[in-house]
Amino acid sequence: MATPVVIFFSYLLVAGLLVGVSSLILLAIARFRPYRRFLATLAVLGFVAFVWGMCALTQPGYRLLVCYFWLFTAAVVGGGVGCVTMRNVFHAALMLILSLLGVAGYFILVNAEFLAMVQVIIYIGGIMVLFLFGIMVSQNIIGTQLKQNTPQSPWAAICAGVLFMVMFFTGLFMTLKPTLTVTPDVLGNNTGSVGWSLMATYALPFEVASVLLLMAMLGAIILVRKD
Amino acid sequence: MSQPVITLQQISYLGPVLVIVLTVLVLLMTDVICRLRPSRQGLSLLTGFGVALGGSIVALVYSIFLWHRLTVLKVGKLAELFPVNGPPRSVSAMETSPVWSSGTLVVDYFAVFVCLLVCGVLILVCFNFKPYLRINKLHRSELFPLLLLSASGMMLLSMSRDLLSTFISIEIVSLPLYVLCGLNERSRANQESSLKYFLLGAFGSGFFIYGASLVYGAVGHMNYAAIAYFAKHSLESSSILMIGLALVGAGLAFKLALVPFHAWVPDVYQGAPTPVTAFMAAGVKLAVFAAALRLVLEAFPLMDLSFWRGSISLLAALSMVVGNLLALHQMSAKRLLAYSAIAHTGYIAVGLASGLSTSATSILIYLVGYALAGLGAFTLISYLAPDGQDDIYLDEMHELSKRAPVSALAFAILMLSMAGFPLTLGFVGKLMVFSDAWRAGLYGLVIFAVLNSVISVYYYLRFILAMYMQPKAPGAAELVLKRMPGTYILTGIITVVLTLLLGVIPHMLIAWAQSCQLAGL
Repeated sequence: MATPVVIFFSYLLVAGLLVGVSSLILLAIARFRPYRRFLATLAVLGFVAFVWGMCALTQPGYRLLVCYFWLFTAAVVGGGVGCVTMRNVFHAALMLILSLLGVAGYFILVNAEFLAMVQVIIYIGGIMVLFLFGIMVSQNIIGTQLKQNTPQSPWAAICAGVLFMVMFFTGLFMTLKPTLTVTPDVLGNNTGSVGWSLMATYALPFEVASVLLLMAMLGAIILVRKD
Repeated sequence: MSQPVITLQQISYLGPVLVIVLTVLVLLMTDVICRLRPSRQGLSLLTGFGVALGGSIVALVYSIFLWHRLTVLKVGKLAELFPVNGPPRSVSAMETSPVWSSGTLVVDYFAVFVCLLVCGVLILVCFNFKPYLRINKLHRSELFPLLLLSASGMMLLSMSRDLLSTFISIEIVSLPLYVLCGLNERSRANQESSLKYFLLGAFGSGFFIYGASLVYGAVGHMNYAAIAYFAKHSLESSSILMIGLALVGAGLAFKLALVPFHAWVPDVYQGAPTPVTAFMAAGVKLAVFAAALRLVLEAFPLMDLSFWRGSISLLAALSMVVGNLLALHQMSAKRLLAYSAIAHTGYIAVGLASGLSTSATSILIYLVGYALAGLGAFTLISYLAPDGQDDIYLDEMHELSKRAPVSALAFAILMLSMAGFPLTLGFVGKLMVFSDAWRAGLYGLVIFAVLNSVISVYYYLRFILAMYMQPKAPGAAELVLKRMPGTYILTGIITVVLTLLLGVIPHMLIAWAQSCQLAGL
């Protein structure tokens, strides 16, 4: 099986991964700030090499799927890294939007089109727009540009790294079996089954959530009201 | 799946929650009407208090009615299990326990008992708020709807048998509290407490929901029964389920303030308005422990015993020792009670670690004792506190027994109950929780817990000694004693009398609480 082509693409894949990940890590370190254009280019090139290798090594029928999967992964990871490293808060929020878009892409890949739309409409259309709006308004009020400044970032990085390693090794040794019997009906009518579970299985929590919304509205009004 | 999913008769089982939510809507309307003229500010406060109190009392009565209804169901079940001319046979307590369930919410004796307690706490906290607002010149009658919404979340929390409804209920409990902590916009301590509570609370909720998503990924379901079933019948041990449950546990530990997750407690308890602190200590602890009990007793027993028992024991031991050691030298009464709350969480977690079917009974009794002592102590603190300080310090309490003998006696009794002296309810609770753990074989943990409660006697006695034996230092600040408002007197009498009465004759309470068994080991 180990034809020269397979060996070449395997090396390409591994090299791309190494180059991409190491340049992403360097990007996150403050000392390498002057070279960030170069490092970002390197990360993108490494990623392209990795995806190329991945696609070449998978069966022909799945190549497009794999290509899209890694595209969305790049959006999620790149957006996440950008969100915590960007100095400008506005840019950080834009990177978070990129990351959330990647998650919406994942949902589409697993046939959950309803969730994908909800992700785009609520997270990006609602929450993030409000976020950007808030940043712009508060910058106008306090008169200075908001800078992202986190002195505890090394500790945060260590904690995140440990959590990542735990999850990574769990994922490595885990066998995920489909625990639900997935029928074609569920796959074909995703939105319908979400509606069914909201109105039947989770009807009471769904109603209770309306109390939560009432509470949120009330609390917001009380917080900003002046005597 | 063609029958109607929820019928009116089923909804009636959720009566206490519905009554409270309806009261909130009425409160919002009356508040608007009373505020039409600025001169009616005082009136809006009074109507708010009245409507909130009325709603809580109706909910209390409804809970008693539900208890009765469950008993009728139980009698019917017993008659079915033991036919008149059939052979005698033995059944477990769980088999005869009457239950109404919608899959995600369940109403059984346990849930109704917690609802009763929440209503009681709510009534006493309403009593506390009325004079507090008047004395501190706060015209914020909108706090009553917030208080009631939080209480409705507590009731739902005790009924949740599903990670999703548990999460929503926890949010309903916490969101109003974030606002209530920052009640007084003129007080920096209030604002600080509100922000800290909000940030760390949101962090805890994040843990919980991430864990819940992992559990769903592993099991394909969020129901506790389904989790337990999966854990028993899946052949390979599922590490993703364990990580998910650990994160869910961390989220609950944040809300309970078990030790690695306790950092917010002192600042929040000290900075919040005293009645809100009382509500947090009595109500939130009760409700979140009810949720933790359901999760541990219904989902965990079929899992790897040493894993969850070990981790809960570790958290319990850490909470007891850290809470007690940090409480030893506190000068502020509210901060002292905050650290002692961490230690009490540790004691209760000892009962959680034992995981027996009787654990629910003993933990509920412990929580009743703790809630009574906490509510009474915080009431006395808000009565004694000087204007604008909202807290009392140890050096202000010297010779209090001569100047306010009744308050000093009440405070001493409540402190003794917290320390677990015999003849108080605190003792009964500690005894039952520790003996459960002893029966479960956690000998080391029980000895450690008893040693810790001996340590805790030191700092409770320090306040009692200051009030009764130590002369006032020259130049020390002196408390200005005002006339005690009527509702404070009422709260004080109720808490002290119940603490002593139930401490001397606890049989009735124990008999009620014994109906509240959950599955367990």
